[in-house]
Amino acid sequence: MKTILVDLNLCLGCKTCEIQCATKRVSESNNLREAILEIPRPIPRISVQSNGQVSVPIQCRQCKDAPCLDVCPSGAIYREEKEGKIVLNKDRCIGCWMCIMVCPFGAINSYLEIQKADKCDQCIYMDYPVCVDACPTGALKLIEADEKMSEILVKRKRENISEYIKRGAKKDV
Amino acid sequence: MYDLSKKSIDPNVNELLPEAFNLDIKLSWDLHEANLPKCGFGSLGLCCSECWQGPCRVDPFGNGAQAGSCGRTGISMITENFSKQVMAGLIPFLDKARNSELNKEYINLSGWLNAGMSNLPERLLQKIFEIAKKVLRLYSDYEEILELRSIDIDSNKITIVIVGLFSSEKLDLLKKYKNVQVFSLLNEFSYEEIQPLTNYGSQEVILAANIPDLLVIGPGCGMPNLIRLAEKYKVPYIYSDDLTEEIIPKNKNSNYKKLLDFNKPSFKSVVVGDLKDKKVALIAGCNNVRQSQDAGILNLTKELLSRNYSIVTTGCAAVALVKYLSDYKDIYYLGSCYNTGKFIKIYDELKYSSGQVVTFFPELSQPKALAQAVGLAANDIQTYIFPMAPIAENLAFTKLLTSVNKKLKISTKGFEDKEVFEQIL
Repeated sequence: MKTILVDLNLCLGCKTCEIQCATKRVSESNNLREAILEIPRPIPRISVQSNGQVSVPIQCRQCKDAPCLDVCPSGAIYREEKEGKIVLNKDRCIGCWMCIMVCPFGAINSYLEIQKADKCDQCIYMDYPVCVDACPTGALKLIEADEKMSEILVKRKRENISEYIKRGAKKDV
Repeated sequence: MYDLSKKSIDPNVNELLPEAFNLDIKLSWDLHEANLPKCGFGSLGLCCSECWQGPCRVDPFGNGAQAGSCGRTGISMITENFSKQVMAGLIPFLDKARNSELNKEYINLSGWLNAGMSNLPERLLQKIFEIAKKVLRLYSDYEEILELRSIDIDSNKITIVIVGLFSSEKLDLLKKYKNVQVFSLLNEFSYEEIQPLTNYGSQEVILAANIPDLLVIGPGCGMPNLIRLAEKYKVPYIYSDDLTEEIIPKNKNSNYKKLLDFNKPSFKSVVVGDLKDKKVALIAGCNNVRQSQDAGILNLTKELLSRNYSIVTTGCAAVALVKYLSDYKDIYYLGSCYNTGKFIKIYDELKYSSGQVVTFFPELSQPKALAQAVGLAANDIQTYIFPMAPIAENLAFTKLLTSVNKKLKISTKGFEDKEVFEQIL
């Protein structure tokens, strides 16, 4: 299954992904000039957060064992079978906010005016998610999760080993 | 990627594009594509890098920050950004205002612009229009109008191409040589003996065809990409201040490629008497890489001609018309883009006649052209700007603009769109 990989070293926190997501995927008009005047105001399904040093674009991680899917009482949230993405059907949403309460990433939005939740479906049925296409530095990439995952894990283990050794050596000295 | 259109209708450009692609040479269209999508905050004018507390931005969807670190709101930011573009565009025109009261006024305002004039967006815009009005009037004298003649590149002569402004002393230096021919790259010159080679959007073609034996670069609308291209194509270049006799090349570049010839008879210069009681439209401005090059200018002109307008044209837009039109009936030439202000005098003489007088910038991109548009509108001439102008994305700002000056209209659509005609003509 394809998933979005975030390279933290490349994210500049420009929020281009947010604006493109809100305009192309959330708004009715599909056009920035009109989108900013819509009511309710479109809320991007991706959100760039920062701790002051590193900025991270956060969007739905399409969990394998998704808490939002388990908890939704009206069946508004379901897993699309072909692509395996978790999708929210607004027509069935009753605005109970249970999904928002359980999502560990804070990736689900609430529209208080219309009592509906909204979430990222990783631009299901599109070639590329809008945020990936929009990212000017390539910090967001669409990868084949299973293939890339082992590569990332090995890399991370190696990096951490050298870090452990460095720290340990310092203590000994 | 989205938001792309056909690159150009200029056959010389279209011939060059695949060639450049094969040589891995990046032209402005490639550079533009690599920049898409353009930053949404910038498109709406909602970012400010005025001070070192910044950069700050305002969230257009209303969820995040609604003011910068100092409290500047969105409307202040965009007004300030727009004003700075206009002020920058007016600088080349300040030559005629040296040591005058107007020059002091300009310096005063640019000082205040940095020091918090943007707290009063409406007042700031009023000031900008006032200054642009006076500056453009300095250029309104239309006694000497130049001709746009046919260009004949002599393949046996050494070709020197000038980009941007150039002093008359340096020009005399070049004129001494019998085997040297001098052209201006773009239509931003005021010497009659130097004719423009092309217009803004296709300036890179001149280099790709190896036409110049020497490129002389001065302040003007030459793209910074020209220098990179000159290095790729091994065309020697020099900054206009450094031009001396020793630098003039002795031999012709052997890779010279002849460009396709367009129809090139000369335009008539304006005779105001001819325009009395007619509908008159000024077509001015540059090219904009957001739109198909020249398509907007050409479509608009054809549409206006079919509605019995007389066309007056300046600058790069004029060069576009020379390229494609074969019939020059009802088309008049006013000079390089520095001469757009002359249209004010024409308007003054025509405004009590029965025809309609209107100005179009169908493919505006450079601040110099924006300043002209603002100056014409400030002088009471109905003015339309027609790129997908970044600031036009922000409706709050376009409303403010209309409240300050009713004559300036900025469209969000290009002239490829037929609806636009119906709305305004």
